[in-house]
Amino acid sequence: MEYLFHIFIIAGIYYILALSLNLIVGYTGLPSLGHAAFYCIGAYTSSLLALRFGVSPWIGLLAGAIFAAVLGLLIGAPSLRLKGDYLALATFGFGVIVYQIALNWVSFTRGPMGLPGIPGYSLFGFDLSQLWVFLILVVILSIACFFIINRIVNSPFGRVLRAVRDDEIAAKSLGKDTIKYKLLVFVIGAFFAGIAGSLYAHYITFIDPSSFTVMESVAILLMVIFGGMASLSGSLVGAVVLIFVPEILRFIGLPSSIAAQVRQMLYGAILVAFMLWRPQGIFGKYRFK
Amino acid sequence: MIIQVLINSLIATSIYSLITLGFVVIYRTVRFFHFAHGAVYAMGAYVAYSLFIGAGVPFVFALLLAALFAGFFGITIDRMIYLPMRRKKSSSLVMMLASFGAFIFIENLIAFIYGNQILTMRTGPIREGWHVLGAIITPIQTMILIVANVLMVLLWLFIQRTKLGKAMRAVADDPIAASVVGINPEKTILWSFFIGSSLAGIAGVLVSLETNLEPTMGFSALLKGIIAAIVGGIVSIPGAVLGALLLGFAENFGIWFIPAGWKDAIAFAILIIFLLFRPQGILGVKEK
Amino acid sequence: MPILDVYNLSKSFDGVKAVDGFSFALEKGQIVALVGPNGAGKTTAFNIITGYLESDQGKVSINIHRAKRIITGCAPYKIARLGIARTFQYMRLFSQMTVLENLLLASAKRKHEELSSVFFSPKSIKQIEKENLGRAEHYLDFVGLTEKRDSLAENLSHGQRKLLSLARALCLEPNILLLDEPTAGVFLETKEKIAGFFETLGSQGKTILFIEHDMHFIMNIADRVIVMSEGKKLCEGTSIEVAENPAVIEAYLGKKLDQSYEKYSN
Repeated sequence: MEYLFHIFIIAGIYYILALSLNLIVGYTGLPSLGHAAFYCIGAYTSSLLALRFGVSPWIGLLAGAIFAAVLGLLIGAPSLRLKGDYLALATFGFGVIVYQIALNWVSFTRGPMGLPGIPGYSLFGFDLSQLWVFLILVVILSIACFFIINRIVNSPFGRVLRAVRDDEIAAKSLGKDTIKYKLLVFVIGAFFAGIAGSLYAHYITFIDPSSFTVMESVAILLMVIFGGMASLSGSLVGAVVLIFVPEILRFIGLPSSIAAQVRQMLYGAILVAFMLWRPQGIFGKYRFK
Repeated sequence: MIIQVLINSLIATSIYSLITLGFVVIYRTVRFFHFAHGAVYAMGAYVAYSLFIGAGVPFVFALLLAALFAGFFGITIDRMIYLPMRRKKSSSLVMMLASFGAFIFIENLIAFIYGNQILTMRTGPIREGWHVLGAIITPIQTMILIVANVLMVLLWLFIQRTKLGKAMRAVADDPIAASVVGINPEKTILWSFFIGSSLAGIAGVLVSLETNLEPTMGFSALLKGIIAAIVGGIVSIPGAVLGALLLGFAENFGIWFIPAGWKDAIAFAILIIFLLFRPQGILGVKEK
Repeated sequence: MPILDVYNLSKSFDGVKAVDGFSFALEKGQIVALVGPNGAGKTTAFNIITGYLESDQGKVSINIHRAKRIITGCAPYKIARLGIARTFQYMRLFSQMTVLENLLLASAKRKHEELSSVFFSPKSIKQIEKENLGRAEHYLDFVGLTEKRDSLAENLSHGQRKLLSLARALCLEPNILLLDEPTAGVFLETKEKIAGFFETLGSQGKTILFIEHDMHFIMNIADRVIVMSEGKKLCEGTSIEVAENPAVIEAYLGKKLDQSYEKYSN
């Protein structure tokens, strides 16, 4: 039972990640391949604030998100001038750079040794680290994220995003400052990824760079693609399926390292299959052109 | 000391050149980032390992067979994945993502088959190197230098002098115009995958002689290849060599100043700078 | 004072001069046709004027509400905000959005599209959206696409897309309309419809510059015609003056009419 709670918590965290990336990729059409960088910053910011300065994880949640948003601005400002596969490559590059910084700046992040002993959440002295309680926290936060992002995409602002995605040149001809919209959406996506990062850090209580590699970015993108581009409920499907199915592999007794390889093979195969046959994803309303 | 770094740089350059040249040869005809190239590279190394260490095949044959295998493997990836996408007129972004998916699949397939541990291509004791101008170069390193550079020259002659090579250049330049003069673009793509992938396979084998095999070897090789290609000029064959040269030298001389762990971060920073300010690379021409 | 003043525009691509010292002026309320053989540089000129292309030389300025403003080198979205709307040769509709949504996006007011309006929507924002809807429906009706309002733009016929493209530019309620081949490839009845729209717009005092190939269409509609060839302005005048200009005929046919008859005279 505990194990099931754990999986749901992880799926919930990834749902937030998938939602945040879907806003960027699915609704605005920006191929962002380095989303794990924002996840990473959120996690490390929150953890370091808690470990070094005794900052409450609740504040860490917000701080992690803000720092991630700032990183989003720093990465987005140069990268979003690029198009298509070049944008993908640049964001991919930034993802690697952030990972390398986490790995190599040992004096600050403890590099590959990671940060152990990250405190959990507590409310009015009540410790929230029991699994079922934490699950409730994750569910509340993911519903909140869904609510916010859903409002964004269904508003006139969201309509402009879809216009930018559909035909940026036409959007400009209607007076839309497309660069501003792309940047805003990138920053918002980064913000929510930062929230997911903080949640993850204070749940797992130990983080190290290996949770924030390029493959992590690909996994999140895969959840968006699988569930459906520009489909917020699709992202739920994507997160749940792509978290649960590999866990089933572990459950049926495959040794851990083999399970990891099979999981990656599955991810790779799914990516190829969807790009070949259904680039918009299962419930998606948009496909990369 | 400088001579040693120089030699190390030249060896790194030679290997990066093979990888990058393979990548560029393919890119020129298909115009998207064939990420799976890194997996082909790794495949070449592992196939050679199975033949040489596993089956006792003489090294030269193992190398040749691995090169052939890699070539056909590259073609298989193209026929199975990219060709249907070309027919559907998928964008280069979609094809790049599919390529990345293929890369992940193959890399983990290798790990699944061979295990995660590091394998070595060595059969005998480590041979002592020769002393050259105060530095040491081993027989293996010498062989790498010779094989890589001979292949580069052969590739250059092939592209410049043979009919097929010229066809590849024509398709790289303008596929429609090429088909108008009777060149079959699909056949040309097939050949570029064969040649490019064989080069990658050979590079993989050569590298494994020096630094052993592990399933993730394809990833860093791929990244180096992409960086070198973009810096040198993604559609330029001399550019590939130039990019490899700059990368090889920067890495080896750079260790003097920067701790080794930061190598990748810096390489990517350079990639991003080029993407932003000179995406056509040093020797490339700006596309409209 | 002309509402749009284009002076000495030049643009080369790889050594080929697409636009070469091109100048003209547009007076308020005029309907002017820009004609010329394919490759004359008409769309290139459009792209420079609307900010999508940087010219090598030359100046573009507008004079709206008695304020003169140089717009050369401005970003396209800024030029659009100054009241210059354009259509594209290949229409560039938002194909995966509905006809209505395409028009809702064509709004001169932008407050409702800000991020802040997502969460704080006071009455003023709701008012803007209501106005947009009314205006969108008005122009939908104007071009006769009301029954298609919830169809996806990609599902329209070619003629309907041309109409939507026109409606979208009109919905911006601009000071100047730049239309790139508004009737290309449409059936005769749609063409006549569009001709009717032009007449209505003309009577409303709108300023229109449009690229067109159909001389008959132009004859009945345009106050003035500018002829472009090989990047340069060949001549300018009423449709009749231009049609009888020998240089214009030569540009279209590639040789003098007399010479072509000579071949057959013996």
